[in-house]
Amino acid sequence: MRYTIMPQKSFTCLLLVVGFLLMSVFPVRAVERGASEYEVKAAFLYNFAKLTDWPPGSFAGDQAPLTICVLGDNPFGNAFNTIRSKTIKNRPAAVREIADVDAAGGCHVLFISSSEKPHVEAILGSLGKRNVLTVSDMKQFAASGGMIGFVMVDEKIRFEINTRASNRAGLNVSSQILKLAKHIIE
Amino acid sequence: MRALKSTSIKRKLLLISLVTTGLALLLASTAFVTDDIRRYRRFLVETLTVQAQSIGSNSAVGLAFDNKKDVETILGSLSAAPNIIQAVIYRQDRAVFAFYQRRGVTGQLVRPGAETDRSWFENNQLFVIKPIMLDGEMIGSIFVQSDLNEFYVSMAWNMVIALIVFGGSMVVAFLVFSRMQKAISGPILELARLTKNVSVEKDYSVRCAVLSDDELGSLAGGMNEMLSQIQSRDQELELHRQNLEEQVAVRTAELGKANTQLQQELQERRTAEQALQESEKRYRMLFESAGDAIFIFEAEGEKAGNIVALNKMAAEMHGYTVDELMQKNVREIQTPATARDLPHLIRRILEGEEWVKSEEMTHRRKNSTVFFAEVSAGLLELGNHKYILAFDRDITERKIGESLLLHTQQTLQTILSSMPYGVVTIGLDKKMRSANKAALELMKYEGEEQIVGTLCNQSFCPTDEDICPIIDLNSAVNQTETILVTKDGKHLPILKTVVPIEIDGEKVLLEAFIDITDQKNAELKLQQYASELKQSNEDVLSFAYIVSHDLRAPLVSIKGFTGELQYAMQEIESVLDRCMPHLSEEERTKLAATYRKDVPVAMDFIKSSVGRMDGLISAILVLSRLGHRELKPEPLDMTRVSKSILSSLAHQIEQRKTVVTIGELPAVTADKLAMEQIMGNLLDNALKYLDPVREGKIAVTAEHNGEEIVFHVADNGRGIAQEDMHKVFEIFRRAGKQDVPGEGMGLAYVKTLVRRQGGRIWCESEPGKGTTFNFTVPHPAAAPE
Repeated sequence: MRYTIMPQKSFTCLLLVVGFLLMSVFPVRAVERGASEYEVKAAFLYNFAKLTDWPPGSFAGDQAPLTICVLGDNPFGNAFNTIRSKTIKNRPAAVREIADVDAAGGCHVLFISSSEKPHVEAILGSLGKRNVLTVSDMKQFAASGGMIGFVMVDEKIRFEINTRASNRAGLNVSSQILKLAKHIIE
Repeated sequence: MRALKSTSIKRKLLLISLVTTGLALLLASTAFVTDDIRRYRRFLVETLTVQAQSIGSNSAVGLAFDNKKDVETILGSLSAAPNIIQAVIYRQDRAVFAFYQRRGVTGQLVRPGAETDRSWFENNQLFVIKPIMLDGEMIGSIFVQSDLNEFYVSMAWNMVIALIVFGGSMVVAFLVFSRMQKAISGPILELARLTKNVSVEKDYSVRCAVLSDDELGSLAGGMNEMLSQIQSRDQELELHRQNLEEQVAVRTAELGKANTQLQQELQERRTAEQALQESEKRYRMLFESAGDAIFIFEAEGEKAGNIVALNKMAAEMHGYTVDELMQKNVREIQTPATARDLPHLIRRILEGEEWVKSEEMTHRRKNSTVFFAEVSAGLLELGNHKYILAFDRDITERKIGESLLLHTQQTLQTILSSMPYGVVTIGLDKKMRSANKAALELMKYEGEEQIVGTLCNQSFCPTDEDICPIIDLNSAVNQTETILVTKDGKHLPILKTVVPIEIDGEKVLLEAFIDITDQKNAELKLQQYASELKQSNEDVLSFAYIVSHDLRAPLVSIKGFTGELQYAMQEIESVLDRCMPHLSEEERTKLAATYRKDVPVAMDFIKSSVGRMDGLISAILVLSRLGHRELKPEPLDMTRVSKSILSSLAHQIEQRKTVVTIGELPAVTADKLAMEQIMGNLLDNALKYLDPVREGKIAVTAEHNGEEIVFHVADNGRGIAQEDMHKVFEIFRRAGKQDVPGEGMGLAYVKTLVRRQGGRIWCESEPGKGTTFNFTVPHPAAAPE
């Protein structure tokens, strides 16, 4: 009896192992094929920070970090992992999640998650003229007072820029970014 | 080349200048062209790098935001540069992001290696790859490939220009040179013509014109000078020819003279040679008849040590014949040890020590026996050849003598160092020369070297520094007590004997001494004992005097009252006689027994005891008086003293029928009373203890014995038993049968008296045969004799 059972058990084990192997292999391949949407967006946020000038008083000191904050539900997952170890304008890059706009002190780039759509006007209002570059992938974000809004064009990620808003906040967005923007609101 | 040799100098000059110019031009143009190519290539690289960097930085943002269209637009601007074949922008992960290709170019993109910043030429093409940076971070790279068509066209034009310059320069050089060479070739051609003239016509009077001031001008001048010299030589030569015959005659006369001189010298040399031969003969004789062995052997080279000459003595000494030894090396007649040292010896001689004298070596005879040889050797140079001349002497016997001497010395040394007497030698300068072990130990020095050289007064006779008895006062010191000062300053009494001796030709004092500290101490102790003894003796005597004196008082009382008691008893007896009849028979008997018998016996006993005690006390008293009495020595005629004693004993002598003989007794200086008592007691004793069984004989004799006089009182009495001999002189002791009255004091007196006068007393006896008492009296009068 024992001898007949043993092969059956072994076979089941083998199937399980193969299954796990396959499961663990496929996600890896998916990542390899191309970056996911939020990985691209995370890289864009990083590049926005690189190509924007903040007024000198926005930082605590020469070595103070440049902080990218995510307000609301975080859709980025692990997308910021590669960014954390990098530098932006000779400053260490930092990423923070915040639940409320009141906690946005020290943020230089603020990504407002779609989950905050109902309060977006209140959020932008409370930021006022503070030197914070606001970014979101909500529709009509730039048109409704935000600074940079992500849009999809031909399955590619593009962005709109509201230079009026950014100028009001004392930020100077590089002309090179403006050249790539799909739409500029002045 | 042969063609070149035969061409004229004019052509040669032209050819040389053209070839030189041509070569210089060729080298110069090559250098210019090469430098041009290098510069142009660098320019191309720089241009293309700037283009690539400009395109790259313009594309950076497009690349960052993944905007391919934007980037392709920027790449499109490259169509203005026809040399660029293609350009590619790679992402950071080296995947192609966007690219540009020149119209008409198809084919594969060349994928660069891992480098991101490099430029290189390959297959007539130029490649540049540069990184694309954004905010100091590399986000991708740009790769540009360019052809070199423009470069080649430019180079071709350069070559054409170079060729034209070369050709033109050569033409100009030819024209200039053909004119200038006349300045050199003209004078040379003129000279050539002149020399030809001179050699053909032999006319030395012609001269050439000097046309210039340079080397050619001086050549012409030199030529003229030469021609004039040749002319004057010709004239001189003629003059010489006439003088020659005269000179030959003079030379011949000189030669004859020299010849005569040579013959004279030859004769002198022959004479010298003969003298040399005689000298050699003398030396040979000396050599052969010498008492020492003489060797001559090679000094250098492979044959070093080979014997080349030896004398008869040398052969005999080693047990060989002369011929046998001639073929040998000196090593063969040496022991291995000596042979080993031979090269060293030779080296010493060769290196300047001309004569090595009296070296001791061991040599071997033919029969292998070894002997000691004393070798003297030196360098002998004959011509350019170096030899060693060696004189050997057999010194075996001397060695034996030396070793014997050494042995004797060692024995003497051992005796000196092991003997218990300290022995030192002192020079006449009063400095210590040597000291043996015992001396060093006594003086507390660790080594001889500490004392040698010090002044003797530092150790001996410290108070007599300038009055040394031997050196300064010239007296002898023999068994004399003196003081030794040790290293630590202690003074030791020593007994010293000094003998002047000669060691190695130097007069020194040999001093032998012993430490007599122990003897000195013993002497001191003895003196102390003697004085103590004297004191206690006096104490005893005075004690005896006091005791006997004080004991006498109660004794006198006992004696007196005993007499009194006896008198009382006579009174009682007269009364008792009257009472007796009234008593009962029993009472009478009892009383008679007690009173008439017991009491008188007790009384007698008391009386005799008291009498004896009185005698004893008197004796002690006498003895103590004897000890205290001051002796007055005076000259005494002992014969007379003895005879007067005999007269006082005449009764006893007669009674016992004794023969007393008194010999010739010498005169002495002694206390008269003491001598009377000594002699009286001894004679009294002799009479008392005569043996009644035979006729008594007593003899008094005496004789001188050194510084004392010995008296003998001999009898033929009963004698004294051996076991009693030791008691005879003790107080209250009486030996033998107690049948003679006396207190046992006589001999004690005698002994005391003899001793007080500095004499001795002893007795010899044989029981049944007789006794002889002997005593001595010091006789200091003998000393002056």
